[in-house]
Amino acid sequence: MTTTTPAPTPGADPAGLRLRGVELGYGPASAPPVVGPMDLDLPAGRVTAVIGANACGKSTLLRGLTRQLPLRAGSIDVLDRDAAALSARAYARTVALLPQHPVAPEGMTVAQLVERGRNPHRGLLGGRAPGDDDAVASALERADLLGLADRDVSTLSGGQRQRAWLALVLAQATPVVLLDEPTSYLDLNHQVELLDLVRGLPDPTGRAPRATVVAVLHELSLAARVADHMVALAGGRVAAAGTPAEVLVPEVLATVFGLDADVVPDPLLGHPVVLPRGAGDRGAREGAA
Amino acid sequence: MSPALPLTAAPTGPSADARDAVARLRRAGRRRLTLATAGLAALLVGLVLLRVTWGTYQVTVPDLVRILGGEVIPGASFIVLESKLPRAVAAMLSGAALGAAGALYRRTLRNPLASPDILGVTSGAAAGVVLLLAVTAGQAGGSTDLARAGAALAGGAAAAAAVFLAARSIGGERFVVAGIAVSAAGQAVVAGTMLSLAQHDLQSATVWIAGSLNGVTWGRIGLMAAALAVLLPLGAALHAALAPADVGPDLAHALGARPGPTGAAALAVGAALAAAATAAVGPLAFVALLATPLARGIAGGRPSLPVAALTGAVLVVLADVVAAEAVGLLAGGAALPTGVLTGAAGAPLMLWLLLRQGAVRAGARPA
Amino acid sequence: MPPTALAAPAARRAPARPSAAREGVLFGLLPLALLAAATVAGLALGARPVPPAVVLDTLGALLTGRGVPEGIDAAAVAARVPRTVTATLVGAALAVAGAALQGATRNPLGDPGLLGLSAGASLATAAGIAVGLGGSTAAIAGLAALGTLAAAVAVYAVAAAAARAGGAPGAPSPVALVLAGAAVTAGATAATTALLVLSPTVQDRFRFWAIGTVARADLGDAVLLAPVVGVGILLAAAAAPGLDALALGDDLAHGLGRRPGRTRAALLAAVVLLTGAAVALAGPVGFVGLLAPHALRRLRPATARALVLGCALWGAVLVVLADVLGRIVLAPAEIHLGVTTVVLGVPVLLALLRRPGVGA
Repeated sequence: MTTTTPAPTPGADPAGLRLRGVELGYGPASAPPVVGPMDLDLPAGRVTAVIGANACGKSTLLRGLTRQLPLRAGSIDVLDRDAAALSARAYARTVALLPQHPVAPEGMTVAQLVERGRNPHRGLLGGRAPGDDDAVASALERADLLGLADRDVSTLSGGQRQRAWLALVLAQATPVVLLDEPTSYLDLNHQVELLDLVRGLPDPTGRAPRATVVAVLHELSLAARVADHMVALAGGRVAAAGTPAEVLVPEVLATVFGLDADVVPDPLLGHPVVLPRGAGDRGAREGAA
Repeated sequence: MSPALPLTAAPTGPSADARDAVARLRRAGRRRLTLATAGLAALLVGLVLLRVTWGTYQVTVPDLVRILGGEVIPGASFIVLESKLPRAVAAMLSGAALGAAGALYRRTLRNPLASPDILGVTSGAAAGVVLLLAVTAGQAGGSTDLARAGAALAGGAAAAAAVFLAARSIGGERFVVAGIAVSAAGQAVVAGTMLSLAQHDLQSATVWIAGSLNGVTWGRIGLMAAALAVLLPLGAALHAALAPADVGPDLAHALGARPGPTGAAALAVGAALAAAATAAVGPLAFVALLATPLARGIAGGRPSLPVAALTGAVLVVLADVVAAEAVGLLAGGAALPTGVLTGAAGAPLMLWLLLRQGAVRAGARPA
Repeated sequence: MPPTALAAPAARRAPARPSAAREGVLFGLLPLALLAAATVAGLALGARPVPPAVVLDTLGALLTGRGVPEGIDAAAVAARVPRTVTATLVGAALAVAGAALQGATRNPLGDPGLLGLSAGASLATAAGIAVGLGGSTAAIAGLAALGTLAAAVAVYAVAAAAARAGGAPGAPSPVALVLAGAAVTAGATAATTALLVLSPTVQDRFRFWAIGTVARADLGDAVLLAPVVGVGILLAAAAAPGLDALALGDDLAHGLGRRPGRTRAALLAAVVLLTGAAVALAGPVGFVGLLAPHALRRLRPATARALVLGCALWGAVLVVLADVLGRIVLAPAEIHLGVTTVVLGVPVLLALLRRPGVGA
């Protein structure tokens, strides 16, 4: 697989996740792959936003990165270690996932829910590990949930609940965090709040100042606000990768989403903002002018 | 890049307040669990004592102690050692087995209505037993306790496998409906076979189908106890290993658990526990279904297999006290099969669970 | 090209509009012929098989009022008449009840047994006998109908309340209905057992409490309840045109000028009459209501009325044959009708579950 490795760009960030020749798919091996073959480097200690139209393979890619879906071909290195060599628990101490639709169990308090994140650090029978309390406490503090720690999860608002799920992932204390559309169902203010929280996540192992975060996001301007790095997928392949300013350009948006759009810089923060154009928009403006 | 956003510095530990709050909550939860376990154990001991001493034939506690010490009191010794005590022990063990089985099913399938009695295991095990009885009816000596336990296990396993194959995956509503269908088939086989077997003894057939502690023997109790000695620790370990599965299969996987294989093992152990109980005492309706939500309520929402097992034991001993002795005192000597009581009391509770499940789903829906 | 190759695509192109002749054959003539054959088989087969000629002879003698001819064979045939007649009625009643339930609740898993109606009927019957109301077959049928009604209302109310609590008001989900049905079945069965154990009268009078059977069927009972079954079938057939609209959902049905409430009430009345009669005749016989309608839908009836009437005939065929099967598989021992239908029905239900929209 290393034969396909592209020459490393000088001065580039070290890869947090390095995919080489990765192919993912469902059903028999003869069925066409949903993702790949794909070579992809996701920078360590940075937030990467994965964007793409529906059914472009975003969620499948994430399932491959959590090893929920076995690789059909290729290899994944996580922080320079071959993922296939790690046990399930060791992998869960390295890579955490916030799925798109987590199941809220009935009759569980926020603290109990967050404590579930400690599972990979415990023995097989789930006995308490040293540092559990510290990890749960910092996760709750960071997600601003300390005051709600003894509340039943089912009584939380949508925004609070999503923070509780994020706190579970934080308690897992992994250097790599994967998020599958973490802002679905949230009001806009809660989306911004959550993504800023994600952007500030530290690397709990202390290897780097910040954790390696990979988030599937569908709101492009918000993705550009939070991301250091961006990957656009189309048809299970990488259509473009780079900084948000490099990826969010009209040509890429046209290929990936079939969208006619203008891109302008945010007046305050400078990140690109996407302005979609409908079929009649340009003609109408020109007609008026 | 968005340099205007602040970058948080490298991790710092939690504040002392936060750490204290978390530790306090955890200790409170643990204390509640310890209290629940101790309270249920005390209640169980009390109920077993009541079952052995009280009823249409009363035995004083000093007499009971003397009998258990080996002394022979004419009449009392026989009734205690051959009727009251075996019933109480069988009720306790079968209740514990069903409660633990319910907890395993509940945690694996993440559905409060999924329990081995609803999903066909109990009736499959009962069908295995009656089919064995039908085959051995004409033979001298009939069937041994061991053969009976084996038939129950085979029937329960066949039912569980049928549900699994029909639903093709663990969990989901498909699994529940397949279970109900298999359960109906098992019940039909039991009822039909028993009626054919017992043309002249309809009453005793009626009693067995309903689940009864009448015919229990020390031999059957010994087999059940041996099975439980293996299955309960195994079940407790699987139950603990499935803790991450409470938050859904995707997240469980990301937490390093293997919900698929562990869940399948948990269902197999749960089915074996339910079959062991059924082989000894017949199909006791709803105990497995009810023990888990009750146990969760008692333990403050924490799923715990020991608490569920204790709750199941308390339920069956209590039901047996009421069915065999209290009804007897009220209705002049008649006694109900214990399973009738658990069935009649369980149906409204199951309907209530169904209503509550709807409410929980609504709460769980993303806002 | 051979003619069959031409015919097949044509049939596939227009599956929704089969010809009236095809309809008449599939839902009328064919099951009638099969029913006649099944009846002869039902009278001929059993612990003592009898040649068909003797069956026809005896049947002719009985129908023309000449009495039972001499001989053991003729006596065996005569002895099988009540159970065959009863099986015909029970099959027709339960199959139509199932079709009506499925239509009224828009739930593919509708079956009087699965949804707890049969258990409710059994409990009401046992309770009635316990308090001395079970003097006549008519009284028992009335009790059974009352029990069916009570169970139907309870199951639907709980399932609908669960749907409301779940934030999805409207028709309750099939799974909620089945779970509520399972709970009602378990509770009613336990209560029935309690009555049986505590009351010798009930034990004596009420025999098919646990499992349906036609082994001890009585011709007088069958004759008495045949009109009830007939009225139930006619009621369901009369309400059937509303079913086609109901299948589209209440809002759309209203828009099409139908009255879903009235259609549902008529269907429920039919279900109550049919299930009550069937339980009074044979006890709880499960899965017929599931088997017949789903098998017939494969034949693509053009209208709901054709489905209902087809169910009456095909259901009768099914149950008569199930009874025969139960008699010959383990002869001289007998498998009760309720066991045979459930063993046949469970695989069908499990197959149904694989269809999208049922389990999900």
